[in-house]
Amino acid sequence: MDAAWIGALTSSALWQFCMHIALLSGTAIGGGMIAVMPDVHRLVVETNHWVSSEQFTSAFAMAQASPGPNFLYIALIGWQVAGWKGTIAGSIAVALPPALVCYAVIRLGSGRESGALQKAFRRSLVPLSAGLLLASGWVLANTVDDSWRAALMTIVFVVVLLRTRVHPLWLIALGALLGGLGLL
Amino acid sequence: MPDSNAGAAGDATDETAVANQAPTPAGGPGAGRGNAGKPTHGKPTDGKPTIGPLQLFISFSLLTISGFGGVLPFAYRMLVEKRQWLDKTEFAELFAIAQMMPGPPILHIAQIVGHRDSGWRGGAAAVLGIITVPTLLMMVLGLAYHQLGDIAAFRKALSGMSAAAVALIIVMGIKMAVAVPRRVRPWLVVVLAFVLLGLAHVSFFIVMALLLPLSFWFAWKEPR
Repeated sequence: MDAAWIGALTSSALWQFCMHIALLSGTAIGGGMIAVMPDVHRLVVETNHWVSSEQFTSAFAMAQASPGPNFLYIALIGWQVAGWKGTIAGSIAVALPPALVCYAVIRLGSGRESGALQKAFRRSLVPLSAGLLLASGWVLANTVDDSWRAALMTIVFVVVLLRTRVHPLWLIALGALLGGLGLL
Repeated sequence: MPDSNAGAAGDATDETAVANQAPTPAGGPGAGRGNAGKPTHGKPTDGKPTIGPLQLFISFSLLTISGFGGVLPFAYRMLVEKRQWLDKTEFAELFAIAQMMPGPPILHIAQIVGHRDSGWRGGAAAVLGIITVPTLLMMVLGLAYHQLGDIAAFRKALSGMSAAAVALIIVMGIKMAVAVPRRVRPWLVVVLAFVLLGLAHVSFFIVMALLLPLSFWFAWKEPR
């Protein structure tokens, strides 16, 4: 394959990736970037094959296990789309549109009063967020839980997280251990 | 619910904190005066010395790298308990405002705090503080994956981590679903969102364009 052709492809993939992420982060009300994960997955795995399903979930898991806000899994997927440039571009694409919206809101001074309209709007986000997050969980579970043991572990961890106050990082570490030992 | 502030629960993901916050009615314990989002257009808050963009950048950088698996609970600890830039009520109000804007709530909280201190420079410094160091870290992780991705045990460990991380998302969804009123119409929105996005793989934009107006209409018609 011709190197220039690959270069052009990479840069255009990065551009498409960033534009899509920017659109998502600029419109993702109720649930943040986790709730739009099925859409990101569709873009980078199903439609464009920029990354494999395994790379996608690995990026998500690594971002969860490292310090920093969890929406930056986008930056790690950016790395897999286009290397270090993809990381920086992904990070900007995810942070800039919300920042501009926020700046506009600050300047326009809305959000000052909590009127009936805002209350209804906030209430309307709750069922929407719930549905979006459950869809994210479902899509991710379908790609990750490729054995009954992995699926069982996910279910057990859900119960543990709901019933106890254990720090999620311990469960991620346990998952890594069980996986690394080949038990899943 | 006893205390719905994002920090007290000790939950570790941003959106889990959202889920904890969500059931609080708009007129609940944290939503008193409604002046937290009042813009000051860059003027320093009365009586307090200006923090300044550099200090904002450093503070939010320190905050973000201490946030394992989600920054929001740590944000409460830093902003309210440690530095006392906000009181409990202000934090709850900022959180509510942040939730109504698109994108990650933590970014909006950082930006508003920064903007109130030193204008758009402060807001930009706070947002950059949240993302800069973790972005560099993601580059290191990306490189590590690139180098180690062929080792079977490493890949298996990652897939184990992924299976655990899925549990976090499902729990967020369940916690959020618990907050949904037990009536037909809100649950219709939950089911439609799940089916369209999760099962039918419809684009997020189409789902939002359909369901946001529908959900808003339902919420508007629902009695409080």
